[in-house]
Amino acid sequence: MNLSDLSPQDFDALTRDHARRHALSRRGFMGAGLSLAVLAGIGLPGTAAFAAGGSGVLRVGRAEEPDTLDPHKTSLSVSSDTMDLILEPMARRDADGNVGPGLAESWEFSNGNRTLTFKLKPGVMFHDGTPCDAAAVAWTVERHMAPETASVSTFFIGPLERVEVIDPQTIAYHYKEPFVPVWVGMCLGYTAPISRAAVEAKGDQFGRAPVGAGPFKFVSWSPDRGMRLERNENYGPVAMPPSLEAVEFIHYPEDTTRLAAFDTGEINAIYHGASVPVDAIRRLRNNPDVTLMERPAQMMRAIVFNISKAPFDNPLVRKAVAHAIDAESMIAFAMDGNAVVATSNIASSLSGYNPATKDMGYAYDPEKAKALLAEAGHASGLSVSLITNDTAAIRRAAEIIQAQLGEVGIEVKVQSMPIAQWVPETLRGEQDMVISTYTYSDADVVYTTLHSTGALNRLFHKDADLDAWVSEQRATSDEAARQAILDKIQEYVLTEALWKPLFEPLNFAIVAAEVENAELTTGGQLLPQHISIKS
Amino acid sequence: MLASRLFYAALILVGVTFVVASLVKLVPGDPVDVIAAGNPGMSLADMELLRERMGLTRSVPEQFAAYLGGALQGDLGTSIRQGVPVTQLIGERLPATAELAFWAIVIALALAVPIGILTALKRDTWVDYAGTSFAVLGVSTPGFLLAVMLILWFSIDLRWLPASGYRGSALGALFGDPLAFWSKFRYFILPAISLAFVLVAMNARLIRSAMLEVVEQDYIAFATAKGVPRAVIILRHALRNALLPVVTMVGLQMGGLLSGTVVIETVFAWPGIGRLAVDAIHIRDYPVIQAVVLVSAVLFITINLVVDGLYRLIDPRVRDE
Repeated sequence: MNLSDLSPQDFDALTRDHARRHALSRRGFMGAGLSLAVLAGIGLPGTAAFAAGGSGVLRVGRAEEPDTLDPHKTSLSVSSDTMDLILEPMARRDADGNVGPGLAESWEFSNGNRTLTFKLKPGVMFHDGTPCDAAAVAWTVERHMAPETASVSTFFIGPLERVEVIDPQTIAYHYKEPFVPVWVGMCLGYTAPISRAAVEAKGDQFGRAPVGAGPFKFVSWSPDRGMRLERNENYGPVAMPPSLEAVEFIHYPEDTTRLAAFDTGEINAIYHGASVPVDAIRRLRNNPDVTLMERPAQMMRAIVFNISKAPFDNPLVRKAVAHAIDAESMIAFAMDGNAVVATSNIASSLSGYNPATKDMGYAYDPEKAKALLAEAGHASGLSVSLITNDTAAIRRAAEIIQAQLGEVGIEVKVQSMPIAQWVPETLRGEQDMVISTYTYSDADVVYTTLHSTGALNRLFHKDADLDAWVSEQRATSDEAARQAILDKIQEYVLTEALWKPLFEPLNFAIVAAEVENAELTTGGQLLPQHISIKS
Repeated sequence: MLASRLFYAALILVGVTFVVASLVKLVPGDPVDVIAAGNPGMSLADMELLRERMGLTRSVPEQFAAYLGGALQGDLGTSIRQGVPVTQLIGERLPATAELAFWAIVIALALAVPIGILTALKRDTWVDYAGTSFAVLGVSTPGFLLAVMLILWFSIDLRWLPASGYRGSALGALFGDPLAFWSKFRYFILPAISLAFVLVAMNARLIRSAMLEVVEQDYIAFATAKGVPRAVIILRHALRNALLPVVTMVGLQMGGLLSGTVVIETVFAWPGIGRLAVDAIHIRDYPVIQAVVLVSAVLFITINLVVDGLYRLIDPRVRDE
């Protein structure tokens, strides 16, 4: 089935379904192909659930701080979370990943699904009072794509050829090819319009004081006081203004301090990434004054073998390692139980995951591991190297791997390094194993992690079949057919023991008792525009 | 004399700049690697394009020449990740680090001087043993442990002081808006004590040993025989001479504190220059790394020049040389 041949309604339905099922983190992209379209128009759930114009400040503690709030100069998720409040993207997703209107009130696909035409809501203004119309959207997109902008986030707009202003409320996006993951970027601040007047007035300081049309206005950001956003009273043309008077983000790099600030009431919410440390979950769960929310994260932690050289060029040795590792005890010790056992190279929360892999893995069986090692000619043991990034949970996981493999006679030399070093160091291929980690919203992650030209592939294999399957799943529009290919890939990875999947972490958020209507999204965020504070 | 010192200082700065500029390029990984690690959607081609657009494909000497040229005109470059001038980033964070260093030194000296004098004068008594034990405890306690303990006691249990953060200059408030002094100074107390603890111990030991040496001198015995009051002997004759090594040590400590105290800044969410540097190293923000090192080197050299000046003030023999 060709994507261009699908009816616009079917194509739209396909893109929405893609966005809902693959919601999550925001990084996803790449074109998994599939089908179809409609006219937009579902209301944003939750906006009518509380009174607008209330008081109260949500004070959020986060482990990370944005680098810049210029949507074309950042690719950090903490910046994205913040920009989503200040800027108004064309569409927005609810907590469960369903796509609904944002700045656009409706849209339709045409021209063989290569053109996406938005009808914008009338009367929307940027926070500086300039109009947020089709011309503003077009100027923003052109800035995003301009080589001199050197944007690190252009991949969020996909294979866009140009935009065309049809009238002040109508704008068409012309793509080079039908682009199924279109809503991943279109629902994020990265692609949202920004005020041209503000960009021209502020120059390189725009990223420190962005002006958009979102539910909250940027007020201040300083290293000493963090960031303050205040309710956009003129949000009416887009949606009901938030109940919160303001949102403040405060950066606490140290876990202990962040939790102390929550305990003392300096902040009343913690969310984003690893801001709620897994070590504290047990205590927080038992605290009646704290509302703890959790949701599976689209993340993977796995051992990836370097199969281009001994000893892991021998499948028996890889299988021995797979049998020697007890993922459940690893989750207990490294994550204090806050993760699920991974059974495949595709995370179980991703569409495309093959549930049959639950019965295909390598059960913890040290005796079998020893027997396999003996069969491979390593009865007297062997020594291998493992490179990991230096986050605390991964370091702990590496220590457990070292101990568990030690029990079957495999000595592991662990090297732990910052991610900036991990990328080029592991690309050299001198190691025997790595702990690979990814956060991704689409099963197409198999391309970057398994294809021989994939940027995050650390197998160092030359496997024409695997490459062909990985390429094929990208180009297959029929969902069932694509799933069949993905199933085959996952089975192959397991039977050949190319990876030893370890665990999939969870996302957490906590709020104090006075915080109401907080809901953790599939991507691990809260939506402050829906939150209110009990007076 | 001063001219030659300034000449050497300039030479050191150029050397430091070159070494740092070369070293950061030798460390594996660049800013694009960090961006790509967090964004699996980027292809290898995207990464190369970004490297080119960021100017990372230029040779190291070419980049160094461009950097030095800019630095000489006061332009330390633009942060790769934050997109604003590096001088702005340093300007935002250096005052927080500098004032924290100031209060840490004030607390350290306010405690170290009396402890040092007392333990010297009461040598081999319980006062001396208590002081020495305190000194051993001080130098042996890791700063991060003390910091977390202080937060637990004074912020969470007693609720006396804030657990973290910085709310602007307390010194500025002292001279501008005295009523606001406490509201700002209370944020300094726990981090300053965490930093000062080890300095108290080191300086007290130094003052003690210097005092022990000085009080044995003939001129002290002479002053005593002459009937000079004991307080005057100690504070005016003995302490002034004993302070010479302390001034050197405090100068070095001040230089170290001004370069940023990463651990304490991290624990107390203090927006200082140390955290800026460490964050920049993690994400390979080369202009920020280079600028922080350069500014730290300038501060260190300046403090050393000031210490030299203080020597001349305290010790007439140096002045006469």
